[in-house]
Amino acid sequence: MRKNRFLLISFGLFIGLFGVAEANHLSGKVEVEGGKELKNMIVYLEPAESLSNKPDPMVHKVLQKGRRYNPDLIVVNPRDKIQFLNDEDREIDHNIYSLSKFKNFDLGLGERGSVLEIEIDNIGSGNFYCSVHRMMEGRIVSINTRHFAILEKPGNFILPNIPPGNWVAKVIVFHKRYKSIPINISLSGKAHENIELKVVKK
Amino acid sequence: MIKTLVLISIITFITSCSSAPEINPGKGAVYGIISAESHKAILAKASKENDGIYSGLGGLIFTDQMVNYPKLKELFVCLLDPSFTDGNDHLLVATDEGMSHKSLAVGKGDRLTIQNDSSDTLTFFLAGKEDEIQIFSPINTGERSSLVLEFEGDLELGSDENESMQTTLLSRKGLVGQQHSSGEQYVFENLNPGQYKILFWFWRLGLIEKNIIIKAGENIELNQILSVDKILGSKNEP
Repeated sequence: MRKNRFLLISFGLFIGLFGVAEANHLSGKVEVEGGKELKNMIVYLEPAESLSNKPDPMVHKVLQKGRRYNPDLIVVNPRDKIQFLNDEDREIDHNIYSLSKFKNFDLGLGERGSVLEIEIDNIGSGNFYCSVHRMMEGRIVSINTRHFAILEKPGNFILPNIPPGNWVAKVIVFHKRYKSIPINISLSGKAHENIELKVVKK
Repeated sequence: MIKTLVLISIITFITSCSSAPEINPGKGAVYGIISAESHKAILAKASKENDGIYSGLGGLIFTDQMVNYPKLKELFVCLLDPSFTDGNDHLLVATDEGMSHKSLAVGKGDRLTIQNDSSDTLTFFLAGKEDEIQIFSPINTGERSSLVLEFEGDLELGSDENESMQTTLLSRKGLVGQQHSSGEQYVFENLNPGQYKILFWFWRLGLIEKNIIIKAGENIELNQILSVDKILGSKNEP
């Protein structure tokens, strides 16, 4: 009896610590009206209600070798940091800046070997450039979730480790002619498959 | 030899100064030089180092991969005139190489016309905030289509069929814009006395806004250099 009570309490503690049901994956596909091959769409799950526990901040790294930002699309959360590393093979200086309303910054002279950093404050998106080199252009997208996938083209996606709860599935589309239709999803501990997210013309 | 150098210096000095426009009775004007330059940190290094892109004399040796600020051709100076209600006309040309303009400053109510000189039929759209969208009718090769601009703000002109056909638009109500190359003079003359806003814009750098008061019989000289540090350092006036 005592042993059974111990097991019951242990099970209760486990449930309390790790949630009633285990996280699971969500999968589906993104379809674009007219079959347009849109590039770099971001599928993400946003909590339907605001979360009290925000994800821990992360540090993202952006390289600059060959006068290109790599990656040139960075998906972050508020409080995350982005480090820009000048890893050029030879002495090439950069000046990374953004004049977007979302996050404006000017990192000054970025010489070879330098690591310059910004911290993200809000959700939103904006482009960043190098004032020296005309092909150096990137984009920061800040969302309120770590559950996202970048799609190089329309098609299938999978988002692993989604905790149970109410979510809104959305797609960020950079082509201004199109917009996505969000879907409300309730997850309860089992895999949720065959979600269809539509991207339509405005 | 010295006389020649002095003469050249004087001519260079005179031609680099902006000349004031003539004033009509009861009117005023604003004029000046619009130019663009590299970031101050890059220029500072150029004054110390004589290696690679740095001349050692404060100047830069521009390569094809660099933004050549002294040679930029799409700098815009715009006057916001609340009394201006007539729309201006703008013509953009699409070719197989892309759009004739990378950027354009326009007024709400202006008419945009696109001439399609590319080898494909193109359907252009104009996108603003959220769901703001205006669609041009499909334009066959050799034809053109127009629409009157309904939105303000940062707009994007694009094509359904070809994503490289893209123009960034700055649109404001009552905007009258002039496009200049770096180092050129702009002039807005025959202005009624009153308060105006003037914008200096390059699409990759953003804009500087300034309030000016035009008085009858007066010229205002307002020169502006666009650079990353100057734009971020400026507090745009409300």
